[in-house]
Parts: sequence; C-alpha cells; structure tokens
Amino acid sequence: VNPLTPTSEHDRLADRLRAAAGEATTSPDARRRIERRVVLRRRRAAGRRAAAAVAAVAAVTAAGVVAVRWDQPPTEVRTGATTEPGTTAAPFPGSERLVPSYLPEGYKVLSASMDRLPPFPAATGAPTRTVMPVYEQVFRPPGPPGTTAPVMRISIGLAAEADQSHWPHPDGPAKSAGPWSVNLTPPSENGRWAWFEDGPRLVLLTTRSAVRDEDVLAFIAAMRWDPAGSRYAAEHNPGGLVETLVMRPHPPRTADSVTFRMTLSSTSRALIHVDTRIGDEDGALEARGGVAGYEYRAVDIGGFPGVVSVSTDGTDVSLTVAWPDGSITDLDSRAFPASVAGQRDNSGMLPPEFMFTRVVEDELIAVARSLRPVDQATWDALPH
Amino acid sequence: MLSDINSDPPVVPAPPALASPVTFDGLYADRYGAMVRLAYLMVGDNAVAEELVQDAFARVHQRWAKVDNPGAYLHVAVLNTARNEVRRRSRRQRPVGPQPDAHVDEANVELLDALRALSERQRAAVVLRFYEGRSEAEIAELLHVRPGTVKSLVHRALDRLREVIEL
Repeated sequence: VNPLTPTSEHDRLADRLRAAAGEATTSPDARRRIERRVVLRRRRAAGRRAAAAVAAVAAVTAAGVVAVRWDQPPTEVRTGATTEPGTTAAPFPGSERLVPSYLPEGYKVLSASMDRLPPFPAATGAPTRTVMPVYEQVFRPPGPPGTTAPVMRISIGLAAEADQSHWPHPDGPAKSAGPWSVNLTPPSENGRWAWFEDGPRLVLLTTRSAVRDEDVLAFIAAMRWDPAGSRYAAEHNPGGLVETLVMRPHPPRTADSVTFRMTLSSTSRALIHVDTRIGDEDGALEARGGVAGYEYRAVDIGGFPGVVSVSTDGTDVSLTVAWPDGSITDLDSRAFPASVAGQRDNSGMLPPEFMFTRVVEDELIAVARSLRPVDQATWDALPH
Repeated sequence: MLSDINSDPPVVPAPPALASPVTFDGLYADRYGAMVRLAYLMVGDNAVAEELVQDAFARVHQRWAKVDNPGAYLHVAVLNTARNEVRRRSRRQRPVGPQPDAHVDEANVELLDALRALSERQRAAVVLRFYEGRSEAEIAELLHVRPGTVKSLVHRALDRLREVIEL
C-alpha cells in the first residue's frame, strides 16, 4: 500500500498536526527582530565582501609584487590590540598568518599588524564611533637604510561595521617604518587607500560605508603614469568618477623632503586633495593647511572650472582652487557660499553625488590581475 | 506496486499558493504566522520556531532582489533551518521536542512528543505531507531525495507514530 495514499488515518493525522500547529504563537515584536537580523546580516555580508576584495587583490598580486594572505576573518580580529596614537601598531595573535607568501627578492617584512582605529580626535566635535580593524603591512625594500627605494606599505581597512564615519586614521603617519618610508596610506574620506606600485600603474582602493549603514561602497581606479603629461591618468575607472590623478612634486620644503600634490578630480568636481611630504624623518603626510586628523571632505561645487581641494579641521572648510591658468585661490567656508560649506558635516558623509561605485569584486579582481611587478627603474621614473 | 500519488486528491488543504507578495512587508504579513507554525511542528518549541523563521525572513530580505519567488524561497529556508536545528540538537543529545507551554493542549503535546521520536527527515516528510498536503514529488524536491525515498520515509514515520500514539 502506498503510504501516501489518503486514508482516514491520514486525515486524522493531518487534523492533529493542524491543531498542534495552531497553538504556535507569534511575538508582537517579530517584525522588529527580523529587521535587527537583517541589519546584522548586512553587516556581516559587508565584512565578507571587504575581506573578499582584499583577499582577491592579495591573491592576484602574489604573481607580481606581493601577496598578502588574509586568513583571519575580520570578525575574529582581536579587539584588544588598540593602538595609541603615535605608536607602532601592536601585534596581535595570528599575525604570523599574514606574512606575505611572496615578495620580490630582498624585500623583508618590516611589520604586519592589525589594530583598531582609535577614536577620532575630539576636535571634530563628533562622538567616538566604532573602531575599525585596519590591516597594515609594511615591506622594506632591498638595500641599506637610506636607500631611495620605496618601502611599500599596504594599508587596508575593512568596512565591516556599520559606522565608519571617522575612519581617517589620525595616527597613520606616525606609523612610519623609518627614514625610507614612502607612506602611501593617505586617508581618504571614510576609507583607506591601498596602493600598489605597479610599474607605471597605481591602484587606489577604498571601501567605505555610505549613508545607509548596510552599504559598503568602494571606489577603485587604476592609474597609468603618463610621462608626457607628468600625471596619472585613469585607466580603470568604474563609475567614471575620476578623470585624473595629478601627482606632481612640489619644491621640497627641506633638503630631504619632497611634497607631492595629489588631486583626484572629475570634470567639475574636486574630490580629494592631499599634499604629501615624503622623505622626512617620519615619512609623514601633511595636508595642505596643516589640517589635523587628515579629515578630508569632498564638496560638490557644481560646475566649478578648476580643481578644488577641500579640507576641514572640523570647524571650517578650506578650499583651494587650482584654476586652469595655474593660479591658486584659497577660500574657506566663511567666504564660500553656505550651500557648499554646509555640505561638510561631522558625520563624515559625502554628498550623495559622491557615492562611490558599489563594490564589485569582479572589478577589483580585474584590476588586481593587471598588476605587474615594479622594478627599481620604474620606481625611479615615478615623480619622487 | 505503489501508485503515483500526484493524481490523488489532497488529504489536506493544498499548501499556500507559491505566488509571493510583491513586497517584503507583504510577505511578512502573509507568511510569518504560517512559517512559525511549520517550524513549530518541526522543532516543537515555539520560541525556537520563531527564531528560525525570523532568521529565514532575514535571509529572504538579503536575497530579495535575486530570488524569483521569495515565498517559495522562504518556505525552503524555514524548512531547512528547522531541519538543521533538529539535526544539531540531535547531535548534542538534546533532541528537539515539545517544550509545551501552559496553553498547549495535552493531545497536541502527545503528538509533538511523538514527532520527536522521528528522525529529522521522517519528521519533515510527515509535516510536508500531512500538514502541508504536498505531493510526493514536491516533498522529494524539498528534501532532496528520490520520490521512492519519500514513500519510505512516510511509511516508517507512520509506523513509528503508531507505536506511540493512536492515529
């Protein structure tokens, strides 16, 4: 007999099952509890995407410059290794798993560390937010101390938490690896730059959380060095956000330091402007105007004809306009229309029009696959 | 020779239509209670059932844009999470069974207790067949087993149930 053929016994069992099921009750706050679970799932997914992006880049670069294995899910990062501003990042358990699987000959790991961002300086007026795990690895090149060869530094923050409003790392520059350091970790808005010198190419990566806390947005662009134009031109530019990255040396401030000006710009909008001083005793970054905390904001100035740098000390917004004719105009929020200044806030959020391209792992991988090892000659050709 | 059951008249009302509400809110309003009841039969614990269903809803929400039929996806998610829960507790020697609240009728306690005696797959087969009125083919697809296995599961489950309760 087919046990599934209906019988009166089956009918009775069905009735009893329905009666039993009917006694199940539902909580009045079930909807709210689901919403909470949704948020948690999004956060976890965001962390996984960020980690996957890091792993993808690292894995592919194994064939080129350096590989960084990310064996430790960010959610398992120890939280106790908080770094005090101005100190070297504390090692953490498991860091030995982060050693590179491949390095160019002669390169040695100077440090590999995971830390948590300290609270953002109170000067911003913003409340202390969730600290974030940041993975940094610094590689020392061949040669004796003092060599002009670069120390490669990869600094990647994971956007695993809801609020990275205050991601910029106030003590980042203090983590210099030494006098050879080329500190290529300028903090960007709510993100980190991950730089890979790639022959003439440069890859910028930042992840960030946007308006909605569940979103992790990323921007990545590959820049090819254009010797004729003395600048990096966007080669891989999903979203079309960036058109140029100008990186020109400025007159050195001291005998052993050189300042770069890096400006990301789109057609009519300036995004980020950072003056970078390289080669001094601490390899520090310095923002034009000496803004503390490296807090940068992009401001949509709508149709402005020049390249504009934007910085803020948490109180006022300073704007530097580089006009096409080469002249410079410095403005601050007091002189600028309130509609512009008003876009700077302490939340760290960019205006919606600056929302970066959503993370697309495929794009990350595609860029990473384009990476090639850099040699000394190539590096030397870069605008130090 | 066992006959195909697909042409048999349903012994219980047909399962809810698979067409999903167009919004998550609609899905919640339409299916939450039903899914809790399904999970309750599987795990025998109201609080656990709600937990499982809420997690399933969160999963559906996460994949809302990618899922053609959120209602069907939700059903599978609830069923699978409930089965996993039964297996997990079984491994821990803490079989999921009725944790009757004061409001639960004695006869229902008896039934839930009897369900606890079933294996996870037998329990799922019984619930899907006799509570949801699903066909052999549907159950086979949901449980990822062959149709013949469904017959076997139900047959053995009924034998086991007869040992402990009067059907």
